[in-house]
Amino acid sequence: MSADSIPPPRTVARAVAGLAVLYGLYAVGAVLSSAVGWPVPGGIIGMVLLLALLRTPWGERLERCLGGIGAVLVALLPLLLVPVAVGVVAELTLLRQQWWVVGLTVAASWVVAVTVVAAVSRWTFARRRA
Amino acid sequence: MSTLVTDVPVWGTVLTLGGWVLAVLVLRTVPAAARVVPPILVAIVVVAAVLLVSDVPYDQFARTSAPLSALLGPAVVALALPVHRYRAEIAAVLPGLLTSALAGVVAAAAVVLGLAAVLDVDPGTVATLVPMHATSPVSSAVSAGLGGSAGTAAVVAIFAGVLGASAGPPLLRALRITDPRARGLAIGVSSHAIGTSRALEIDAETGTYAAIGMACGAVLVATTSAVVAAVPGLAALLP
Repeated sequence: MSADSIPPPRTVARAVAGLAVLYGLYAVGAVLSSAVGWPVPGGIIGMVLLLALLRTPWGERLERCLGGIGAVLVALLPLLLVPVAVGVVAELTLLRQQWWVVGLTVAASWVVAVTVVAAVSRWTFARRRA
Repeated sequence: MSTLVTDVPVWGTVLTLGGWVLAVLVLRTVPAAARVVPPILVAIVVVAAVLLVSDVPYDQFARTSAPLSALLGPAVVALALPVHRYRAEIAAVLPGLLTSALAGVVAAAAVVLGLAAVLDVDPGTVATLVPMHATSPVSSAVSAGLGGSAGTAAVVAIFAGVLGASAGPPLLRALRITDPRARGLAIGVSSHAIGTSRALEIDAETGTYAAIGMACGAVLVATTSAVVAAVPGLAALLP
């Protein structure tokens, strides 16, 4: 399929079905998250549900539906996060009062998190391969 | 900015897309910067600068950029696809993977509580900072539960994400971590969605392990924060 041609109806139908599955699982995840009152967002619960569904006998068909549209959405993720991240401007006055405490704590704990996860996982993964 | 522009129901979407295109163009002309600075960071700065200069409230921008934000949930669900592709390999390292993520989340919380005790940070700020290493919706909900500020917690989580997207790869290089699985997991746990989106740009394997790390982080932060609130010595640092 060349870039300038309109995709055949079958491909479009598949993408629509894939989008329906993704939104459906997100909705189920959001409902579960608020019903249980557990602060894990709907998207993360939906992602775990989809992982489970992909392992069922229908998994292969599901993957064919989701492959195209899912890959596009995953690739767009950084763009989709921009409006959320710009929320920083709404909190500027509060951050200005305590910027050095917040900045120091965020930086220190982030460096520790990266270092600990990388070091521990390198050790456990290497042991597995050996 | 003229209300004629800001009343258009999609101007926030147009601004975000424009900011992204500008970011990509700028980074293309400065290849040296492109190796360190991800497009998301430049786009955030551009859009935030426009909002601050034009004095448009964030709420109005959030409303008019909703068409983009509406795709965020399904996009996070779709992260299951790359993870599924590596299922056999992931199953083999699952115990080590969970141990590493737990170690990272606990160590990060320990640093926040340690600094809070040393610097005599006020309890409200501590409650806001403890759940930092989780995706914004998790960190804001958890910090509100602990007695912190939900809005600031979401922003602090974004700082961690942006830090991961820009400083993550250089830090891992300095630490001499070359295994893409360890690199991805570290970025995912520490810097959640924004870090994961950067890891996906590096390569599929790094991105996959970042997505797993992000999911582990969300669940573990929600759990460990409840533990912190239950331990009397630590709970004393909270409101």
